[in-house]
Amino acid sequence: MAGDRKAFGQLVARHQASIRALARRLARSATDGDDIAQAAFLSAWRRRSTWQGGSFRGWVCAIAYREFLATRKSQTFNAEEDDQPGAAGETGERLDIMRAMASLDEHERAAVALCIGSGLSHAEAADAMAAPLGSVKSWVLRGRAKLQKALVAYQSA
Amino acid sequence: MSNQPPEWSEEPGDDGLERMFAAEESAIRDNGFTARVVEKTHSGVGFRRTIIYGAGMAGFGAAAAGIMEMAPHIPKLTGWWPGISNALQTSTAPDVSNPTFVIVAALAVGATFLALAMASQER
Repeated sequence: MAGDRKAFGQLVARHQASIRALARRLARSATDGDDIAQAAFLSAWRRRSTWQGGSFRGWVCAIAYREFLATRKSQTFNAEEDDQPGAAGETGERLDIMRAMASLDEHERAAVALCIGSGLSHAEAADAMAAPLGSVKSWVLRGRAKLQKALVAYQSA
Repeated sequence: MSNQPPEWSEEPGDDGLERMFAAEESAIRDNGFTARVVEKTHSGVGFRRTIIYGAGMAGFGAAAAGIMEMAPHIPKLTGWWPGISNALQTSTAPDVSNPTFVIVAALAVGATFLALAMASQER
């Protein structure tokens, strides 16, 4: 058990940034995102016997997405607070991408966050979102186009 | 040759989005996050679960013992139920005053409840 915990700690250290980034993008809040990421890692720890190998990051990304959905059902996020431009100390390009992500609809944002942000394949994202593969591809395509358009607008403003 | 429309290519575009997301991710510092997660794996989640489920076990056991005690008092019914009702009424009610019986019944029902609860948590 102690060895398991040590190995798990190493995995958390290696992947915490990507899982927190995903959760923050989904929740549109650093605070809520970190809470979701922590819940996802703890859920992964409890369910470690069910991990069937493969990508640990992909597995935890899927758990984080489900944690996000569960948390959203049970509480109100503080997204408005963190979404204010510059409220979290964000500036420049990172602020632009945050604002652009906020302009996407929920499915597009999740698909973009999972596929473009976290590097999951469309099939892995479809599995995590329990959605048809074609829908995920479509959401990513539309989301990417909207992001490009929004970023161009911000950069030319 | 793929039937997939070209706009559904799996290849990432060269629009800098991946780079921007990567920069966003690399700006996230651990700041004790890993330590907090590992610390919580030590915390009494399992202990609390045992306490909660243990209370559930006791409750279920008491309820099961109560049902056994009620069996002789169930009214006679007609229709599809009488077979079961009669079987219950004619059966010898277990001696619920026997602590061994109560403990065994509580453990059996409680163990089933615990297994079901843990299985549902694993999903």
